[in-house]
Amino acid sequence: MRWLIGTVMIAAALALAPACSDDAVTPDPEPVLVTPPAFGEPYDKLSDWHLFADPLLQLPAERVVPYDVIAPLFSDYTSKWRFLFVPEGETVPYADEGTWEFPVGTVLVKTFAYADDVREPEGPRRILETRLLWREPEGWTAHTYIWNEEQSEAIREVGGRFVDVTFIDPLGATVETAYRVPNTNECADCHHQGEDEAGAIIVGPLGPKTLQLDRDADFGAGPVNQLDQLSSLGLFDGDPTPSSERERLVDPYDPAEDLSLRARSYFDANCSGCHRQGGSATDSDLELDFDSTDPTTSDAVVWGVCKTPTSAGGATCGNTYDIVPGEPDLSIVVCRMTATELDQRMPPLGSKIVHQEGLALMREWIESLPPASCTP
Amino acid sequence: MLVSFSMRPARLIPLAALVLALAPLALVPGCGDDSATGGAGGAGGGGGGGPSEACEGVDTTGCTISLGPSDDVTNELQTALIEAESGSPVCLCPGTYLFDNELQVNTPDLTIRGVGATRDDVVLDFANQIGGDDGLTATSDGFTVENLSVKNTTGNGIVATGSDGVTFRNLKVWWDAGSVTENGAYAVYPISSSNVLIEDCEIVGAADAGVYVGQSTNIIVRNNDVHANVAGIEIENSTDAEVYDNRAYDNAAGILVFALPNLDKTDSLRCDVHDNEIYENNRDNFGEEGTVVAAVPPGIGVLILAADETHVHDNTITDNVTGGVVMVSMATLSLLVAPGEPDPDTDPDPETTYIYANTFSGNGTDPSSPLDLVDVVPMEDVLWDGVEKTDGSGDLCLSMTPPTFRNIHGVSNIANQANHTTDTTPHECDHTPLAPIVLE
Repeated sequence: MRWLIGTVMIAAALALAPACSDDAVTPDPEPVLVTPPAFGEPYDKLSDWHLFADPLLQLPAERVVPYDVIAPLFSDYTSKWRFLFVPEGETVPYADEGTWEFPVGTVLVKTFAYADDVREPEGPRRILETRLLWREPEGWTAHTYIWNEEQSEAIREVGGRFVDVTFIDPLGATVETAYRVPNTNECADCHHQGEDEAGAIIVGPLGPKTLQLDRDADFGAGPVNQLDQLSSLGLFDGDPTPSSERERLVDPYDPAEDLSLRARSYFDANCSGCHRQGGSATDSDLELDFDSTDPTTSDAVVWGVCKTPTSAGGATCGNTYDIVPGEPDLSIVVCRMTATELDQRMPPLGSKIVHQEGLALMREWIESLPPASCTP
Repeated sequence: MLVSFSMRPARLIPLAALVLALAPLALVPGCGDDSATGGAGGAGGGGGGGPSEACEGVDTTGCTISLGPSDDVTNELQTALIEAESGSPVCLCPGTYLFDNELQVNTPDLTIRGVGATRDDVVLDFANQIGGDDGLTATSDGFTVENLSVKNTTGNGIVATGSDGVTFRNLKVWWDAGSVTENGAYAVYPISSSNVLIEDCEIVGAADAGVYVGQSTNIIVRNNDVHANVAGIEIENSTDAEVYDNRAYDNAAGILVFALPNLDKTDSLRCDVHDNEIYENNRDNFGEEGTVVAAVPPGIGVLILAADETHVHDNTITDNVTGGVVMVSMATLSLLVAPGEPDPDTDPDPETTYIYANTFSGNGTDPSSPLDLVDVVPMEDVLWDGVEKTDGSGDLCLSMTPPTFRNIHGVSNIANQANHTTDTTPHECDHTPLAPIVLE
């Protein structure tokens, strides 16, 4: 079948950028088809993949499906676009739990940009990088492409770079920071799925899972559930579990949601990349994925309550326990989210700016926890 | 509508100037921005491009890739480390390398080698690091780093995680600031690794342990100079380690053998500490408050915590003001730091320790708190908190020619000398010496 999702959000995007190419406004443009390279030979130029009908507007090519997550990873107030491309004739086994298993040839796409003023994400912006996770026959490989100053092309970067950026933050303050485009190994820090026989890291996706995608999105005809939409597109091998039986994250910043679920969703999105069984922070013995933080099934020490750190080095802020119920200021988790020093701050990768909204949530949640043995 | 776009932080410009000032050999006159290797972006493959002038006249035999300092060296070296084939030595020519980000190795059987005449000729300086917190990290098997210096890392110096076959050889790791709390915690740090060799290194100023081996198996630590750290050498929750011919001095504590609770690897077995010079470990403890090592009373030569089958022999242990060898259980640790959750998987007492044939002198002359409460000056050469599961289960042997010894028989009131014994008779016994470690 032919997927039509390539038209998503075109109207909104066009309204924003009247100066874009004529192709995009032609009623029946020639469809842009993805042209993956030979396995093992990723293109040096992003344009060669043909993932976008209009790269600058992030309008996807045919069969490239946009999606959103419920709880995004905080990336220093960047705007992000996410897409998935599954080759013709291939499907994804539907799964309630864990990250979906994608077929060989799949490309997961994530583009990062800064709005000049993050309070106006649809306003002027600068695209920084587009990251790809490519399912090759031997496994996933990670590639990132840095956009040029003219915003006309993006070039593959292996060794990583800092890019100076300036933007206006949610409070209206001008922020200058060095945005990190990760090197290939840094990609593996979070996208860590295990190790091969020689100890080299095996990478894989984090976001595309039912927990994160089970939300509404506007595919051009009003809000629809993304899983329903993906199912109707024929992406899944097997039908999704009925909605009422599905477990899903909540928006961490929606005060109408349950506080515990908000905190757990925040942890899952922002911490469990490393802090989970098999993640790269396994040595910390602190597990913060959505399942491990379920207070009804998981021992509280697993998610940090009255837990002393293992090898935190000096990064304890002088505190003793990861989480002290009722006492955010005595909790190492809070101090490490507050810190900006490289050897203190969490997360160590993917952001450099203290996430005030996340920090406020964490404090509120720790204050709400019932006292435990380490509560003074 | 776009803000100005520069590929590099502006702050690198003065750093680049500094590199050029420090290492004029790295200049490529008239070549504009032609970096030393042409390795920027995806062009670092195929042997790393042209050789750096820093490598002129340097023997790079056996090097698959040779790099010199440049103003884009973080990217160039990281690209080389990613694109290097397994088994490739990546060589660094003489000069000072200023990095703005942690370097990471995930390629099996990779060697990073300084090719200067000495380790001091190749300096990896992380003072201006703005990303990552460690200096150099490896996750793959078969990782070797040798003949170079690493300094000023915010976090740890060199880390190997889950690596089978790790060699740290002829390295110097230190901090320009001296011995201060803000320094990185561990200088050389293999964790959850196996077949670990740390030799001929000089480690100065780590705010936790200079040489720290955690949750690892089959380990040799030999012929290192380890000084001005909080702990000199620490072997923690590891099995089959041999620590010999090292010089540990001027730390807060010289050599530590620990078993700590709530770790994946629960035991610490068969650490053989012998033929080391362990002296004057009397530095004020500058560890970060809240860490276990920050609670260690300064002035200790060898500290055994809950580890089993630790052998300490043929060392020269002198002038450590709290004590020569101190052996304690979790009960003592819990006096010093807040206890974590009880860990039923961890044995809290040191057992089957064998301390023999050491040369002691001048130790215990001014014990630090809380061991000053024992109120003995000089403290005996071997102090034990005496905590055992049952009488005699500690199975401590001091050989038939024992050192001076004090057992305080529990920690509830260590000042109560009536509870103490100094009789070595129950410990005049021998255990079978440990076999030398053979790395695989």
